[in-house]
Amino acid sequence: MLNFTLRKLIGMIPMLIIITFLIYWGIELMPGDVIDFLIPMDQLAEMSAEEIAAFKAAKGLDGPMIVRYLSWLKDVCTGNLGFSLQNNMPVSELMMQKLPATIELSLAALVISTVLGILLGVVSALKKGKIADNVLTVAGMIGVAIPQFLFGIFCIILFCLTLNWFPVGQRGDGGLLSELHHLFLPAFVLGISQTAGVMRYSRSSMLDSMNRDYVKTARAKGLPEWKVNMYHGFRVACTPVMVLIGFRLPTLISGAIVIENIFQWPGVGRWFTDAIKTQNTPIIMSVGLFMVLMVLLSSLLVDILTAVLDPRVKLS
Amino acid sequence: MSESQNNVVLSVKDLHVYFYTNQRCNKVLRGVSFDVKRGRTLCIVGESGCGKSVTANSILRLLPELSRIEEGSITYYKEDGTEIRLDQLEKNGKEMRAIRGQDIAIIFQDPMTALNPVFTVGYQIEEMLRQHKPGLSKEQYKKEAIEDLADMGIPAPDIRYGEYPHQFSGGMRQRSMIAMGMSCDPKILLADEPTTALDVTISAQIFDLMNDLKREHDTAIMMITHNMGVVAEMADEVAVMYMGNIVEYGPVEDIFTNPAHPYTKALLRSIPVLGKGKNQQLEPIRGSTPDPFNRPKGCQFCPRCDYACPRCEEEMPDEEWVKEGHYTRCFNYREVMADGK
Ligand SMILES: Nc1ncnc2c1ncn2[C@@H]1O[C@H](COP(=O)(O)OP(=O)(O)OP(=O)(O)O)[C@@H](O)[C@H]1O
Ligand code: SF4
Ligand SMILES: [Mg+2]
Repeated sequence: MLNFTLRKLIGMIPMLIIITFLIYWGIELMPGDVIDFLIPMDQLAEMSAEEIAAFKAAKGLDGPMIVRYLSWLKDVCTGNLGFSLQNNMPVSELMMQKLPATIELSLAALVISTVLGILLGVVSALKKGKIADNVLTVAGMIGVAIPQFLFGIFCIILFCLTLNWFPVGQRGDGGLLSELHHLFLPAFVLGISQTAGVMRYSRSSMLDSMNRDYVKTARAKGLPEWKVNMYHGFRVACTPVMVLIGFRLPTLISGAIVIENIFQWPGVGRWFTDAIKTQNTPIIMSVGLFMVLMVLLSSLLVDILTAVLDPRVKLS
Repeated sequence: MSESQNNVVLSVKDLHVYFYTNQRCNKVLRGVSFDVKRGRTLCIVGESGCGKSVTANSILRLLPELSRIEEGSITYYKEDGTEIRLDQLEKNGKEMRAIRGQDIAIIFQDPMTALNPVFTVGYQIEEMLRQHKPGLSKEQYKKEAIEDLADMGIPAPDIRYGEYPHQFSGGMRQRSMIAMGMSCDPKILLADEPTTALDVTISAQIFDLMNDLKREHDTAIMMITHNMGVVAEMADEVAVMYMGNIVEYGPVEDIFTNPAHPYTKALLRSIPVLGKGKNQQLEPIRGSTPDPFNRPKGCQFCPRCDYACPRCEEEMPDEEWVKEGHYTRCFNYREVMADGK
C-alpha cells in the first residue's frame, strides 16, 4: 500500500506540471494587460514605454511566458508560492489565512451531503415504489436540476433576509455556536446540491445490492431484516457510493467558490475570483495548483478506499 | 402413505403461488403437493422455468415481493410433534426467521454469487451460528465455524476461515455454503440445483457430501435439479414438475422403471443411461415449453404429448394414485404405463 501510494504520488508530478502549465497559458490568453490592474489609469497614461518595461521587469512580468512559467515552477519547488501582485504579500501566507474557511465549508458540506445522501438513498431503495421513494425521487431530480447559485440566493432571501434566521457573510467570532450559526447555511446549500447526486447513486447501488443472491442467503440464515439490509445490502452498496463521493471532492471545492461568492464567505474561493478579475497570476496559480492537487489526491484516495472496502480489489 | 406419516417433516399441499409482474398475473405454481421425509432425499426435476426454485423459496418464504402464496399449505412438523404452518407465518417475522437456517436450510444454485464478497467465509458461517446459537464466546464461534468447514472436507480450514469468497474455487464455495447450511444441524436441507455451476467431479463430491449428511444426521433433503442422472443417483422419491404442477410423484425405482406420465417418459428418453453404451438413441422432448401467459387450456403437456386425446385439450387432469406413494396427473396413465418403452 505504501509502495502503491508512493508510485501514484510520483506519477502525479508530470500531470501537475502539464496542468499548471496549461493554467499559466490560460492566464496569458486572458484579455487585457496585468499592468492595467496594477497602476491606476491616469498614472499609466503618463508613463513612458521604458518606465512600463522597467516596472514589469521589477515584478517579473516580462520575458517569454515559458521562462516565467519555469521560474514559477522553480519557486514552487522550493516552497515559494510568490507574492501577490496587488500588495506584495506572500501568497503562502494569504493562503493560510483563506484556506481554513474553505476547508471548513467544504468539510461541513461533505458531511451533510454524505450523511443525508446515503440515508435518503437507502431509505428510498428500501421503500422502492412507495410514497417516500417517489417524493425523494422528485426532490432528487429538482436538487440535481437547480443551479447552486440560484438555490443559494433563494436561501439567502428566505432564511437570512426574510426570516432573519442566519447571518450572511463572514465566519463566526470564535465561539462554537456562532461558528456553526454562520457556517450552517452556506454549508447546507453547498451540501444539498451534492446530496441529490449521492442520494440517487446510493439508491441505485442499494437496489442493485439488495437484488443479489447474497442478500437472499443472508435472509435464509434467519437474520433480521435490518441486518440483511445494513450488513449485507448496504455494506456492498457503499463501495461505489464512496467512490462517487471521492471523485466528487474536487467539485466540492469548485462549488465552494460559487457559494463563497454568494455568501461572502472569506475563503479561497472569493479570493480566487478576485485574483482572476485582476490577473493576479501568483494567486491564480497557487489556488490552481491546490485544486489540481485535490483532484489527483482524491483519485488516489478513491483507489485506497476501494481497496479497503472491497477485498477483491488489490492495489497494484 | 399412512405408515410413513410420522417420518414426514415437511408437507406441501396444493400450493398455488402467483407472480404479479407488469400488471399481469403469472400463475407459477398451480397446485403442488409433496412430502419431504426424514433421512430421505426428494428430487424435484423439470425443465427450466417450471417453478422448481419458486417451490423451494416458498417453503422458506423467500419469494420476491410481487409474488403471493394464494392457496394451499406448507406444514413443517417439528420433532416435538408441533405443526407449523409456514405459509401462515409473517414473511420476515420472528417465527419464520427462527426456522430459517435452524430447522430448514437452503443452498442456492450459484455458489459464485450466493456468498457476500466483502465478508470472510468464516464470518458468514459465524453469522448463522450467532443468529441461532446466541451466547457463545468469540473463540467458540470461530472453533465451530472452522469445524464446519473441516467437516465439508475443506483443507486448511483455519486458514480458509479468514479468506474471502473470491479466494475460493466454485466447489469450495459450494462446500462452504453447505457448511453454512449444515452449521445449525437443520432437519431439512433444500438444495436448489447445488451443482449446476460446477464440473462433474466436483458435483459428484458435493453429492457424496450430501448423502453422508443424510445418513449421519438423518437430514431430510429436497434437491432440485433438471438432470435425470442426478435423480437416479440421489433420489429416494422423485417429483417431476411441469409448468407449475407436479405431474408425477413417486419412489425413484417406480419413476425410472415404470413411469406413469408421458413427460417423465420423455425426460428419461432424453438422457443417456449408464451402461447402455454409445449406441443408445437420445430423443430431445419435442416442442417447447408454452408461454406461461398463454397456457394450454387443458393438460399443460398436451401440445407436446404423444398420448394426447380430445379430453386432454379441455381439462386439466387431477392427481391420480397409481399405487401407494405414486401419483400422476394424466388421463391416459394406464396406456402410458402399459406402453413398454
Ligand atoms: N423474481 C421473479 N420475477 C418474476 N417472475 C419470476 C421470478 N422468479 C420466477 N419467476 C417466474 O416463475 C417461473 C418459474 O421460475 P423458477 O425460478 O421457479 O424456475 P425453475 O424451475 O427454478 O427454473 P431453472 O431450472 O431455470 O432454475 C418462471 O417462469 C418465471 O416466469
Ligand atoms: S393428460 Fe393427456 S395430454 Fe396430458 S400427459 Fe396425459 S395423455 Fe398427455
Ligand atoms: Mg431455479
